Amino acid sequence: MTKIRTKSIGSMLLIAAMLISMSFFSCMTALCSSDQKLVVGEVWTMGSVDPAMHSYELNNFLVAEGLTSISPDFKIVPCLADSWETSGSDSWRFHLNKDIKFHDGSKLTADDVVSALQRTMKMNPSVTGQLNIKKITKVDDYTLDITTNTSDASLPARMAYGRASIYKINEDGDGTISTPICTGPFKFVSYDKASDTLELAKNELYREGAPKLDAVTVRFGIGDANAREMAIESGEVDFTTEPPLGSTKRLQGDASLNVIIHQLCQGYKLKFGDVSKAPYDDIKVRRAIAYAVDRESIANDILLGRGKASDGNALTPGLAWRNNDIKGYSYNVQKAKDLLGEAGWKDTDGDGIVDKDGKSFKITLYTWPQRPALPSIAQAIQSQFKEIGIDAEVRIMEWDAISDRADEWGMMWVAGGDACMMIPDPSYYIEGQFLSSNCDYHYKNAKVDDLIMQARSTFDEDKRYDLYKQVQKIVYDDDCAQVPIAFHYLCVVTKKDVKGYVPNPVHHDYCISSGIYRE
Amino acid sequence: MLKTRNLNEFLKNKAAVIGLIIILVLVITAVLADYISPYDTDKVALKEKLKPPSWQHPMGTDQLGRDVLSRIIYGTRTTFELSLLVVLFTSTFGVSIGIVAGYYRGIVDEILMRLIDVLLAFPSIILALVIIGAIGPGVFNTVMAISLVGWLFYARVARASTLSIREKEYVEGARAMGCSDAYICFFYVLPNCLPPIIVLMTLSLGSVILSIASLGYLGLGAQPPTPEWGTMLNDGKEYLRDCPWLSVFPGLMIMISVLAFNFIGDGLRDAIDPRQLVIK
Amino acid sequence: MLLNFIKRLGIFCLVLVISTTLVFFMLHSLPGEKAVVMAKYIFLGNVELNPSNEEIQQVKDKFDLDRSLMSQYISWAGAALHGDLGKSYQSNDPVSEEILIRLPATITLAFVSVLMSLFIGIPLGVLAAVKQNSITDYLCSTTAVLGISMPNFWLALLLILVFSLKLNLTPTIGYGGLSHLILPAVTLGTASSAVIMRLTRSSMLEVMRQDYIRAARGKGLSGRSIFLTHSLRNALIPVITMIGLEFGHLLGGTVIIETIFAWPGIGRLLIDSISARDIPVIQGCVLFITLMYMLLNFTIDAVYPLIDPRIGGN
Repeated sequence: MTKIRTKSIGSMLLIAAMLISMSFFSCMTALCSSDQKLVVGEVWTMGSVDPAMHSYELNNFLVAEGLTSISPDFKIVPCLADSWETSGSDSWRFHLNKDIKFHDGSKLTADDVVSALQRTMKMNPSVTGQLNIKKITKVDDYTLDITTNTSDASLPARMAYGRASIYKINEDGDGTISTPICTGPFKFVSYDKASDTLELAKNELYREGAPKLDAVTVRFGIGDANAREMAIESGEVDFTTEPPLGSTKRLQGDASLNVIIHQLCQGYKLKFGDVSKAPYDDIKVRRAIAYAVDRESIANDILLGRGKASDGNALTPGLAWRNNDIKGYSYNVQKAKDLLGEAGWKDTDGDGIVDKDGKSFKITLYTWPQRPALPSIAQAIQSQFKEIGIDAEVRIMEWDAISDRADEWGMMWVAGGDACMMIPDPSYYIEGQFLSSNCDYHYKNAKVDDLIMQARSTFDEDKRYDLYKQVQKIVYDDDCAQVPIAFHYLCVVTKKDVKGYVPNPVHHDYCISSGIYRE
Repeated sequence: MLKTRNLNEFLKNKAAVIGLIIILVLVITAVLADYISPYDTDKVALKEKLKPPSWQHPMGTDQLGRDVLSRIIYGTRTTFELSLLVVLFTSTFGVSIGIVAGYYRGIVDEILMRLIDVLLAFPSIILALVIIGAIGPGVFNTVMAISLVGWLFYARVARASTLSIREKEYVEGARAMGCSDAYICFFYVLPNCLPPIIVLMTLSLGSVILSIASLGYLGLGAQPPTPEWGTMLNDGKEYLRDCPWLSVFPGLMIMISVLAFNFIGDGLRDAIDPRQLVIK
Repeated sequence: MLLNFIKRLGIFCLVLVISTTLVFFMLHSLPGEKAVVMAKYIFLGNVELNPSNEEIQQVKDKFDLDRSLMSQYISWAGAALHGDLGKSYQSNDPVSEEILIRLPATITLAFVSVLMSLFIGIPLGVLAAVKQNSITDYLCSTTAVLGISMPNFWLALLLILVFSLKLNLTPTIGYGGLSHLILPAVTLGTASSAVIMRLTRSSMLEVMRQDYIRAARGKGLSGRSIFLTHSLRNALIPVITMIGLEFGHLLGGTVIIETIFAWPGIGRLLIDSISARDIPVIQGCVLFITLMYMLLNFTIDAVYPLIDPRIGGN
């Protein structure tokens, strides 16, 4: 009897030991073989990987880096350069981090920076324009001087622009680079042109430590929102953005998915075609239009939570140079009507449309179809205008066709996108929108031009920002040069087990984070 | 041309008759839209947005709070007007070219036909997109864009008919009598082309409706807030799975109209003396 | 015979010239200044940004756009005659490469869709013709018409929803193996099958009526199957033309389907290039589509006599 009992206990113990070790091993294998791979479904196409043309995308996917970088709370931080200072009013000296290696193991030196930037500027005329660089000279292996065309306090910020990223010059016979070698947390593995798919692998040599993901696959060009949504629901992609407008609630209720809606540096606004002639040359008319827009309703009922009504300033809340004391124009139909009346626009013939000196206030409201909310916003504004007596016809066209029509009487457009942080510096947006020499809608205010010119050569950050804040007060409150409507929020959808995504609102439209991992 | 015998045979075809009834109902809807539509089609009412079908709104409301049923009813008018215009333009132009090519033959005929072949190869949607890109979107421009591509089949069919007719004795006789080419083309050739052309017109109405819908789906075509089934489908894209009524009803209307036109066209083709028919 | 061939070749060249010229000049009537649009798409990578005047001038200099349209066309045509289609403005890769890498996807999809229409359309069409005006006929005809009446983007999304998402049978989008091919091919094939089915039916009906009359007048009853085969051969002639047309049409790319399924085909290349004013690519595609189409026509014309020896000329 004792024998059998020992045997039974023995076998029980044996079985127990086997079970425990089995579960232990399966835990181990689960941890070891958990797939640290991410497949991203991207809306836009890329087409080629030459960094001179596409380092913006490479930067968004953490392959390429620039001299400086910008943090999610909008601060310029060192990246490939440790520090920088001005050496003269139009020249900056950058000191490179001495421990940076390219993906192929070679060290980054000033020579690499100079040749990469020069090649990019030669091949891509728009980068030359954006960077405002006259000359780049190497001082020693880890120091270089950049001379700007004009006295430019914003140069360090410009170097954070995605297209100013640094790469090795490994051109093929025909002068194109098809295997970029850069410095970021992920390195280039392959690019399939036909299917527009980019394969990346983790960079073990990354100076801040390798990222958690082993590999990233980016599938570009999934333009149809429904197809994108079905791809993530079926698990073919793990990370995507901008599902159809109406899907938010359903996706939030899907147990296998994670939905993150976060701020971006973009928004919607009303732009006048020409403020130097009738009817928009009258400040009262512009203000009336600003009062007539029901921003809350647009943010809630059209953007369906993927946006927020603007307070009157199109710059993103949180920017250090943003003037947060803009009064703005809250929705007030009566005030709008009164202002129009004061400007001489009254409904004299009883047709519901105001007129002046025999001319009816009939305008065309243009917008483009690429952003799904725009046509609806335009139609909502059309009906809001009707209430104050403006008859607006909505036309949806391609962007270029719209800008051709800027000199039609009363031309107005609902613009989307409107990125204010392509370069993380106030000069980018403020100069682009309000400097009279650049201005495509003929806005001209000498005081604004003055302030902007002053700010260009003011190197003290606080004083600079203060100048830009003054500009904002003038253009938004005093002059009502443009009418901001709402901020655009990005809707990111990931599989439930994708963790560690830190939204960085600066990138147009988003960038992945090195801290992403699969649980 | 069309004799009573043909008419009887057409009426025997049940599908064709059903198609005819459907189209008649739709045409009446289009004409009486102002009286039967329960709501205004372009009144934006954001608080009523995206409501599913109910007693107040049998087809629900769209993303701007407008009643879908009313927009479908008015959409009938827009869609039918547009398609009729396109078919009229394309048939007139195409038949003229086809008759000229078939009657005069020779190098003109060869070049025209090869050019038509190439144009037929061209993805018509791309051609339409480029044309609309050049002249801008909008109702009239959509008509132009589709017409510029749509006349090709008419030319082919008309040419084939012309080829078969020009050898006939009575045409020879007319020529001998000194009738001008134009006279012969108009009074002898044209009537002979008509039966297959009428069949083609009916069938094209269906495909034109689809083309207009496709252009509407791409965001070009009738401008908002004009209700048109294709642009309604486009608007519904962003709410496809969560508010399917925005897409299902316009899509069904497109399908039903195209079906009806095809049934009528098929019935016509079967009923008309087959020896006069030329296969596409 | 030889004269005919030379004449054909001459017309072929003329058509090539006309189509490329037409497209080239049409492209320049698109709105917006070419250099501005190119600066946005190709260099800025973002439609919503405004290039500065300096940037626009640099684009003009880089691609020598300040020349007259005529001289630009002539330099393109001159190079094309030597087989050099130039380089894409966007990717800086040769245009021929851009087209060739998308050929497999386009041809596969076109081929399978046309095969579908052959194997579904023809048998159904014959069946409907033989059993004219019966329930079978109505069923076949209605199914066929349904196939042509449904907007194809609708069908595409519906198929993805049912077969990929709910039933998990196929992947949703992308280009890969057979499983990726099914849904796009079915979407396109449905419309093609419907067209072929109806054409087969009407063609069979016409031939059957003629043959029936002839047979009835003639030697007496031939076997039903002999009669059927004989009619079928004649009836198939216009069907073959149509199949050729369909294949040629699909080779030009199907933009909407390619967008929805993220299918790397010629259609999307063409559309993207038109938006970006990537002239070399557009011209290259036009050349390619015209060439393919002409080749197809030649092949079909050569196949005719094999089916019906009575057809010698045109």
